[in-house]
Amino acid sequence: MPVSGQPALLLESVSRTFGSGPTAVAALKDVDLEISPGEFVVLLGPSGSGKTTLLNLIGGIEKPTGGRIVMESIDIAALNAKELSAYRRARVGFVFQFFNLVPTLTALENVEIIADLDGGDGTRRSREALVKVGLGELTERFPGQLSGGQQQRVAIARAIVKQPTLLLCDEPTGSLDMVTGRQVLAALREQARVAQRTVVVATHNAAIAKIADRVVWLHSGTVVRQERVAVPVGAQDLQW
Amino acid sequence: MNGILLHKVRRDVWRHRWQFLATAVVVGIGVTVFVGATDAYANLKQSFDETYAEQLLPDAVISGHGVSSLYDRARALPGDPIVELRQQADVGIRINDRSVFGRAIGVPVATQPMVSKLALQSGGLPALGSVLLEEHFADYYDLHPGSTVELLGPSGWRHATVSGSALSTEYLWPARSGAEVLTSPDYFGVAFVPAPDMAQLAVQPTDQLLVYAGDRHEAQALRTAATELAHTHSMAVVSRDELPSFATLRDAVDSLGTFARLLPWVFLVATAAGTYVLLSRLVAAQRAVIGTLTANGLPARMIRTHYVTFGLVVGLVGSAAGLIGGYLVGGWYTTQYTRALGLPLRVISLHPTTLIIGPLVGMAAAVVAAWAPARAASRISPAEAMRISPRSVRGGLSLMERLLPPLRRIPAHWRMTLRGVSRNRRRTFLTIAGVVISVCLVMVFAGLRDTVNSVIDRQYEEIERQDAQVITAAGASDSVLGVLRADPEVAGVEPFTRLDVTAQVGNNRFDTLLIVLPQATTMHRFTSSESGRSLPDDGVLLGEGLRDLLSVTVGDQIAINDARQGIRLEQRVSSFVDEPTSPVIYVAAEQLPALAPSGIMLKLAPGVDGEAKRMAVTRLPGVSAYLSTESLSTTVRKAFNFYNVLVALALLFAGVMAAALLYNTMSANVSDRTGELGTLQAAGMGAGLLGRLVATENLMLVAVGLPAGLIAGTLLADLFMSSYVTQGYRWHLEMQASTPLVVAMGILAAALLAQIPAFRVIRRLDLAKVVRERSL
Repeated sequence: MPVSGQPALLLESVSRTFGSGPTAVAALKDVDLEISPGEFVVLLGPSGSGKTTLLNLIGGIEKPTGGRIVMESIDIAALNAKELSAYRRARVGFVFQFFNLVPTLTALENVEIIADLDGGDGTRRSREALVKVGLGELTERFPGQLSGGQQQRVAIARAIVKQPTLLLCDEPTGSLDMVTGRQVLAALREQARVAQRTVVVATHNAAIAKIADRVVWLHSGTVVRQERVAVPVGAQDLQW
Repeated sequence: MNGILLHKVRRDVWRHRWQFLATAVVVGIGVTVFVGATDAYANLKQSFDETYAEQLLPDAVISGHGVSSLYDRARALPGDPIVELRQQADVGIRINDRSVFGRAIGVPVATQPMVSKLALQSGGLPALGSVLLEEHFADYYDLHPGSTVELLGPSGWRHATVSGSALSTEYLWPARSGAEVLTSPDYFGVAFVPAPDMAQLAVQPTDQLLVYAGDRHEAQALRTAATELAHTHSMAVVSRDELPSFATLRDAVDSLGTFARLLPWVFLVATAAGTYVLLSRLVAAQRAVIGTLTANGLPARMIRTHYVTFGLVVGLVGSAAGLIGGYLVGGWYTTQYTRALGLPLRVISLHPTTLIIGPLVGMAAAVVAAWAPARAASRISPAEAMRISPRSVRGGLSLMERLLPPLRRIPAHWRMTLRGVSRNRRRTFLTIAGVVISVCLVMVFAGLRDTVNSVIDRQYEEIERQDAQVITAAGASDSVLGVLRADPEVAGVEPFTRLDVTAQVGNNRFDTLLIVLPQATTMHRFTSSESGRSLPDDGVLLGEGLRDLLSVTVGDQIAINDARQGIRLEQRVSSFVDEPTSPVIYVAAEQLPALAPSGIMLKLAPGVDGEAKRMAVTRLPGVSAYLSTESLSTTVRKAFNFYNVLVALALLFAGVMAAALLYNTMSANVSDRTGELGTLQAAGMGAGLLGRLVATENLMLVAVGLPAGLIAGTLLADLFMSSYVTQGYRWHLEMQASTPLVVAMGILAAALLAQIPAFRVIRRLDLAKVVRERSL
């Protein structure tokens, strides 16, 4: 549910070019975008359209070659590596297609490893995060003992445990079947709706767009269309 | 294998060049050590053999009054022998004001002897009235043709001109006797004197008959026959194997041979470990590619061959480098060794067997190690390989958490580190094995150096308490003793007698020294467990080496003969003393009251200038030599300095090997989990913390490997040392308490250095890229 007022995220003429000279590839070209706090945005587009690059730039794991990315009055593009690390730690939660859980740690420990970064009672907060994604009963299981969907939900719990204002998800259902994919999307939707986090999901799966507050279409590195979804559907109603 | 796959090998090797290089370095070090040690052994053996053949080192030396009567019989012995008669006498030699215990050996006037030829280093063979000095001795005192020395004969000191210097194969290692292998030019020197001049130097020189087998195939038969001949006529005989210089050098070269045989195995295991870790990781990383190729019909055999080729490449590159390195190290060692001895002939040659075996074994080890990952690659199911979710690593508590439950409550990232150790158990095991091997290698050489130093320290600081031994001319000991007793700069004196004797028990004989000291001597500390720290009232103490040489035990009777002085004793063996430097016999002077002292043990007062006192004492009438304990200790230490170079070289090799193995493990470790590390970094965990976590994990392997390596290294060092037997004395490891600590620090330093690339890799992780890749 979008919240009006100050934007959570503001992108102005953001560009990202890989390489230089004749082999240079412009992954993003002059992208302007404004995302409100608590908004659930889906970036939709075919492979190579620039979705992941845009997500990486917002998350501060890549730097733009042009333009500004402002979050809470901070220009992310101007931050150095250490400041970017602090920015990600404090404000951003990532969920990737591949869960990249530490296989030697339990579900709880995989969340705790990030929760510990902020100090305090990391175990309690990790447990709560797992409960929020519906894994309260499986906290002591190792990744090898969890299904793909369960592993991705651990990854979501890991992303939300530090209470980020921004949750960035790159193809979060790409490795999952439809049933588990729905569970993951429901968990993400809830983060926007209940926890009032800004959630940005990059996907090529058009069906997912139906649960978003807004859909942003990208093609060849440019935003070709934006559309607000009047009545987002529940994750359980999605079909693909 | 087709050409495209060969291109793939080339490009993959280039892509992972540092990891391949690290493994090739391990192979290279292994081959270097094998080729170097084996070549050095072969070079030295060949150098000695050729020198002995060139200079006709005698097969046997028969000594005794009237030995010349055996000349014709000796000529008739097997092996077409060359026979030489000569005389030998122990005399004092004085150079300027310095007197030493000398040996005069009669040689033909201005002509080479027929046996035991001399390799001239300067000047010419001695004419009447001149002497030719042994090279080590001449070099030490900087004596040249035309210099003069004095020799002490029955009529006192007489001048002789130095005709030159020469090396004799009987004194390449200038030992005075089998019981006095460690000497110093300050104490002992050899002069070759024209035979007619020998009469002026000794009233009764020892007659000697030297035999050398012209037919070398019959050399052993000649030695046996000469021994029988000597025994039949109650004469002393020393076969070539027992000649002090020959035996000492043979033992030293043989110990190098032992190293050459045993050490390479250590490196082979390291080679296998390094190759296995590298290729296992490569196969894991290329799992999807392998699956695709298999799915498209590439036969398993071809995939297997493809990955074995990587092992072959590593083995080939490492072996080629090792071959060159080994040849250089072998040549360097041979040069240093022969130069230190002044060996006239130095052979540094290519040894085809070594050149073939070294690289072949190095490559074989790499290929065998590559076989398991290659086989695993060929068995990868395409369906499994193409699955999105890779085969999962089994989770579970680490061993340490099980043993120490409070560890389960440490921060999660440290728990990750604890469990990471057992994440890939085979790799963990091999890395620990690599650390153990590295530590073992250093410990063996460090143990060798420590033992030698410890033995020298013990001999010259604990056992021999005198500051000097003053050797006196016959009948002069009482007067010298009186002068020294009255000297306020002398804190203590004790007369002693040293006799060259033959000890015999049953049919076993051994030429050694009988040392006679006051029963309550304060100049010598005995290390006997049975009779305490003093000489027994009854019986003799034997050097530990004689236990085996004479097959004797405590309580047995031992016959001690000195044919020259007509002394024959029958004594009970009271105990054995642990003195590795020489298996001698000690007896209390009170048991032999008729025996005249041959010298005086001297203890200087505190603060007295040892060198000034030496000069003063050697000027005293009746003093023929002055042996400073410090000078002897210094000379012996210098002789063994070479071990320090070997230890440094071993430490370097082991350090590089440990670093290379750990670098590969660490690289594989980081490659295995770039996705995880990238995700954690994307979530805000600092690269520094991640680097520390991974480094800690690697260092934990080192921490496990170190104690195991120190224990195994100590056992291995002891095994090596106990395989070294000199004059019946079986050596045992005497390691300094600080050595394991120093070794551990060295390996730890190498391990820490190997972590630097890990930090760099983690700092430079391309987060945007790795978080989109699935971890393998």
